Amino acid sequence: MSRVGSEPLRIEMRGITKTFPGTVACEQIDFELRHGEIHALVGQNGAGKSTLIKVLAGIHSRDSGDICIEGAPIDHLTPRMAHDLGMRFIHQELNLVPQFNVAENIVLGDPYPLRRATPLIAWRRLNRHVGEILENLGISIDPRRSVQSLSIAEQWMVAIARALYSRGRVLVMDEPTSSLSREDVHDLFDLVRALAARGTSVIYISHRLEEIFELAERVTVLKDGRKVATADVDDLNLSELVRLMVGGRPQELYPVIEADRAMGNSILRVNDLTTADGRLANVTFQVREREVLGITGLLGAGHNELADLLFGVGGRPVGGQMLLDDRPYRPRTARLAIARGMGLVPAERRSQGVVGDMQLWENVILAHLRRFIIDPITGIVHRRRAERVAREQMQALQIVATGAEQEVQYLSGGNQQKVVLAKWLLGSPRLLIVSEPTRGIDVSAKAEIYGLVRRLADDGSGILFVSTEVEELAGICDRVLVLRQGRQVADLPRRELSAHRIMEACYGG
Amino acid sequence: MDRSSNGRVLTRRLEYFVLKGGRYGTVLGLLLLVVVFAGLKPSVFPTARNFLNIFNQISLLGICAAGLTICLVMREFDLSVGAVATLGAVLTAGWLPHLHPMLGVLAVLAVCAGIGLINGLIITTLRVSSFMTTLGTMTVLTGFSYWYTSGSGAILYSGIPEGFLRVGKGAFLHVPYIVFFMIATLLVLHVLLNHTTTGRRMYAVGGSPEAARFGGIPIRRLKILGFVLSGALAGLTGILLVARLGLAEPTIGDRFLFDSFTVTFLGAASIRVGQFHIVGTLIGTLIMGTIFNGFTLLDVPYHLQLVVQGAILIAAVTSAGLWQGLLLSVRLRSVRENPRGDTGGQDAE
Repeated sequence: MSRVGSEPLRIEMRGITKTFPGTVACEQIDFELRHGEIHALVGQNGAGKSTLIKVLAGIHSRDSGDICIEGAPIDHLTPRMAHDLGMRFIHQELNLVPQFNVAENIVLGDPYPLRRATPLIAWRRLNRHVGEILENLGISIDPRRSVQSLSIAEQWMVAIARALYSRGRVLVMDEPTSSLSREDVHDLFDLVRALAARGTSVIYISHRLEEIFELAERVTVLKDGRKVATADVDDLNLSELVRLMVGGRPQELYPVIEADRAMGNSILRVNDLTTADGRLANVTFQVREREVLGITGLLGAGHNELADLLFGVGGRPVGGQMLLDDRPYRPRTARLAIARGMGLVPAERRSQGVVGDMQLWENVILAHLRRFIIDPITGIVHRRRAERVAREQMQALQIVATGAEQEVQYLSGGNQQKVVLAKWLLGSPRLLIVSEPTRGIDVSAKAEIYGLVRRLADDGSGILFVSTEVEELAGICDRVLVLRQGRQVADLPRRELSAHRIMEACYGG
Repeated sequence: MDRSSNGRVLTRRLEYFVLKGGRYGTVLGLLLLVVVFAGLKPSVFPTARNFLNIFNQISLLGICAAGLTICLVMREFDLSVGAVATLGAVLTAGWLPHLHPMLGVLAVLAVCAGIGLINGLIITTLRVSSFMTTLGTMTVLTGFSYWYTSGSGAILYSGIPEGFLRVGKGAFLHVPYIVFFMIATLLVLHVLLNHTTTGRRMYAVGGSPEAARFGGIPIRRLKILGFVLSGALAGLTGILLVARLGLAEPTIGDRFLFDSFTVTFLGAASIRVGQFHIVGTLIGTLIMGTIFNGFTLLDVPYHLQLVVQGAILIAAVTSAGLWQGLLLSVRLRSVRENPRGDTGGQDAE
């Protein structure tokens, strides 16, 4: 702390604002990083963490605000400059060359040591040099091992060693522990602490909040693109941190739902579902008519895998049983799932939800083409009828477009999502899976989509609402199932639902 | 309990076999071919003379395929190698009667390297796929070669200096000069790819473009260099073709496209499975040469040779894919049995 006065900050960001068409990703965010500090950055999905980091990396240029590095103001930051200023970003992909060994990955991009007066690489010197560096960092990995044979934790260590080898002074780590075991996390933390002790500054992004208390000195909380707080970790506890992240949000965004509304018959029963790859283990639940069942968890917890599996586009179950309308259900393809009355609003809207260069009406009838075919042999579509239906849907869902013939890629995210919903509403599916339906969508469109989902449920469909946004889950679900590492850890009924409660279950609080 | 531990031992053995055994499939195949042909034609096939003959026959293919290997290392295609070889041949036959041989050869090499440079520049600066770009240059060059030879009845053969032709036909200690060209080329490129910064960075570009980009590796420059080398070596192939045959015509290099791809992909199924490398390319070239030679000795008709060539390529490439798939499923299974992260069989050996 005493250093602050005498030394300039390593990084100082003031009033950073960055907008994208339709959304403000960062609004007046201040952030500072001291020398040798481990600073955690937390917030829900869409809070603005990754945008802020990308501004720092020079990938996004900021709309306004100042950035000073080592006290020197930086006008226009490019990725090259960020690299030259010693900033190193390690993402989950790690960016290692899988075919190379540890030593070659560590020198990647830097000059290899060469034999005197030749262009030939001095392999022995390289291995020795890298071995010394690893030893210095307390990493016991043979530099000649192939990185493919390393565990994920070891790969992280190699990525960190590589950042230091190339004279990195600021390390930004994005979710390093999401796929690590407890012991591995411990080793990784030892390494990060050792780096900080030598003066490297670390920005640590994680969804695992308990780790932040273990590792970081300070934490900055972002929410909806704004900074909520920067605090010393010692001044906070877990539930206060969660409260800062969740905050209070106006409730009118969500429709009113009675706690004990009557449900209909059971649509889907899942018993003891287990997949071969271990992503899901012993999952049991049922969805009834008129019910909105939320499914959530942290990154990689299994909720996305569950949605894919139910729609026939994911892994195969090896154990357990699924019954759809009391008949065995084992979808092998999406086509079979649709034939049984399933629908999916996928998370990747642009790549999986809509066909961007097709017109609006074509997208709307896509899942129910057969109904519009005049002649079964040529497959000619009754275009006038299809367009009329599409226009009805546009009106019903208030889709803003120039007409039924507009190409969907030119619509806003919210309107694209409504097109996807319209596609399924046309068939009134038995069970509709909606996956992250409001990601990257503005608030008013969100409210409309919540309304549509509820309306569909009121008409008798079952809804599986897969999302990682705890507030919307609390806002619109009748029940929420929380998964952690493929296992069901909570089944929360309506009257127990709150963003706070769900998040605690996600983190195992 | 007992059953599952049994299963694990089996799994480990399978993994061992897959890891260590699968990589040598093509080498074993090559040895098998040699044994079979030697058995069928014991008096002709397994003789020093015939083996020298095989090497003589594959030399040009080896040179051309080595150039292609560099592009493939960076996961780029060069479909123009055959057409560049043709261009090199017709230009050699067309220019050598009028120029000093050394100057003429250098000029041809420069033109062919220039074609590679154009390929590389289009691919890296205009960001067109290498597949389409080189398909385009291939067509243009083929057209050019037809036009260039059309004045002389499509075949150029007159006035090529004797001294130049001796390069193609002569031998040192019974080993044809051309074989030395191949050996030198393969050696230089092997060292380049495996023991120089440039070569290792080429592998980094192919292995993980993202990692290469974040590491500040000059990807575009390396790719351009790869296409230049590929063009120059295809040109050298064309030059040596003329030296050997004493003539050039506008389809003379066509086969080198298909054959180069066949042998490089056979090579990628060898030893370092899934990676292109010069040793693999040499193995692939030897397989091709042995098949061609053995079939000729056995009087197998040409059309059947083509059928076998294609079938072998598909078999080698799918088996490499199959092996990798098996490997993956073995790893997955060991992860499932042992989710702590200890990868079981891997470090057992």
